[in-house]
Amino acid sequence: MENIITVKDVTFFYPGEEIPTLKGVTLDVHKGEWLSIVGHNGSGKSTLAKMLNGLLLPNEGAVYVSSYTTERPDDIWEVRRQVGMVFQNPDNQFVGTSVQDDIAFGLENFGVPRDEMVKRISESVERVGMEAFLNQEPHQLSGGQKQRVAIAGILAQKPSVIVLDEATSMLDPIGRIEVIETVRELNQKEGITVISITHDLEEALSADRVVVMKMGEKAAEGIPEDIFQQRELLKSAGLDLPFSLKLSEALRQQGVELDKSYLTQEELVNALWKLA
Amino acid sequence: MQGTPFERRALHDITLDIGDGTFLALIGHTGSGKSTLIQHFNGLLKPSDGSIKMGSTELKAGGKKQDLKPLRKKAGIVFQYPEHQLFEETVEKDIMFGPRNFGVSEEEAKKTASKVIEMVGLPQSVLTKSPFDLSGGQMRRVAIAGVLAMNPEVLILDEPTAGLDPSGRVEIMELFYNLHEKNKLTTILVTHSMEDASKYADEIAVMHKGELYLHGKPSDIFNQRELLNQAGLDVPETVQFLNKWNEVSGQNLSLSSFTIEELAKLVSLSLKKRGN
Repeated sequence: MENIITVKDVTFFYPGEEIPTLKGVTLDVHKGEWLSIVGHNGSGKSTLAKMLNGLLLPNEGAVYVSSYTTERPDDIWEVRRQVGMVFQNPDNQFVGTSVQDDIAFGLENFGVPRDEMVKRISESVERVGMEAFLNQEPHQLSGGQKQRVAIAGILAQKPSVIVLDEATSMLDPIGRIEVIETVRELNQKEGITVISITHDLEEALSADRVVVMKMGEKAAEGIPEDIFQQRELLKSAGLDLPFSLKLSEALRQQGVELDKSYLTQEELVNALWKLA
Repeated sequence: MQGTPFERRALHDITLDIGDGTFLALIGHTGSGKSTLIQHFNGLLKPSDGSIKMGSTELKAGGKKQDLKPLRKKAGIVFQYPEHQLFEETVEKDIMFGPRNFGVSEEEAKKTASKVIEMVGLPQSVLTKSPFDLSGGQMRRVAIAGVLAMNPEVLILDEPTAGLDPSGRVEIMELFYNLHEKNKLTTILVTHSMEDASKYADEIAVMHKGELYLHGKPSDIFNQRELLNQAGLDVPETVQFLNKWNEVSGQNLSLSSFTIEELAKLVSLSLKKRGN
């Protein structure tokens, strides 16, 4: 499988710290996949995210984005165009006075001509379903809508990767679904690679692959079916078991003869129905 | 901003009695008025109409300037991301700031700081550190300790676990629940987590469009999925699962405590009955 991002032996210290926040992290991100990165607070997952588009640079090791690398200053703009980041707080990343100004801001920084800019703005708001809000001001938007505008701002730069850094953690349940569905569509229909840093286990369950970070190191990597069966690993990484797994275990304790633990509610209901 | 073009009615005609010692969960989607409502509880906002009564202290609309100190002493608010409000050189000074402002002697305030730091599960050695040298989870605990130092009778929590990893979330919620029980507090929890609302609350109040939409016991509220959906909310995962099970098995089971254990018992019983 083709890799879009390669993180190689990355170690990183925040200035003045003696303990590295990232310790020898190596990671391949496959083109077109949805990769979830989970881990406890302080595990280094957000720091890792900031390495991916050169917001932070490794003390040791290197980060490659297709044929570019964050260690070459001349490559940084191309890296940032290709790898767009959506951060946690919707209010901290809205810089324009209206939706279209906000999206235009990013394009101006890349020196996109006006005609092209107008075209890209209308295209990108449509892809996140915000075309009716072009002239709205930020305070008229919900948290989920602001995050969708942030995504549109990234799309306008024709990226290959979108990094969600806990981008749904400040949203209500409806806003969360709204943002995840928007990104899922971009991932599935347009093949944009998604890297999602999250505490939301149900979201990680539907990822193609999951990386577990623990104390600055990569503790595990694999498909959700494998990762989420590892109770001890999850516990030690400050995580919880997903709902359906916990329920599968509780049912077995009640003497229900399930052949395995199921990851989703649908699978579990179906398995139970077969037992009935 | 009454009488200006910016006037917007954020809350409308809310009547809510919260009994002494109640654990109330306040739920509603973003913009439903939850945060506006709790800011009335300690006089950060004054009602344009109506009144707020807490114990013997009453805060009325209009009228002359009222002394808010008794109200603020009685009701402690833990805001969203409370660690952003830490500012002192040391943890101890930060915790002492509130009590000192209310005329408590330096010696007494120091004793309080040492007491509350234990209550939030941090070692005494943290007291001499700068709050900014602590991890995010520790900073949050220090900020909570600062509120507890005021010895409030009413604890108001505005999404106190936002941004924490799953195990941190459980730890903080258990901390509040134990305090609530042990110190016979009245607790108001603003949350997006239906799981936390069902697990800890005696009563649930649902806000929608600035009005009190539903109010009752968890078992009353979570059996009204339609109404909750209309307010942009959903039921806890245990109820979602039971609904699916009811659908395939043609039964009409319902939960009272909403725990996974209760759900597992209920489902295994219904399987056994079918088996016979």
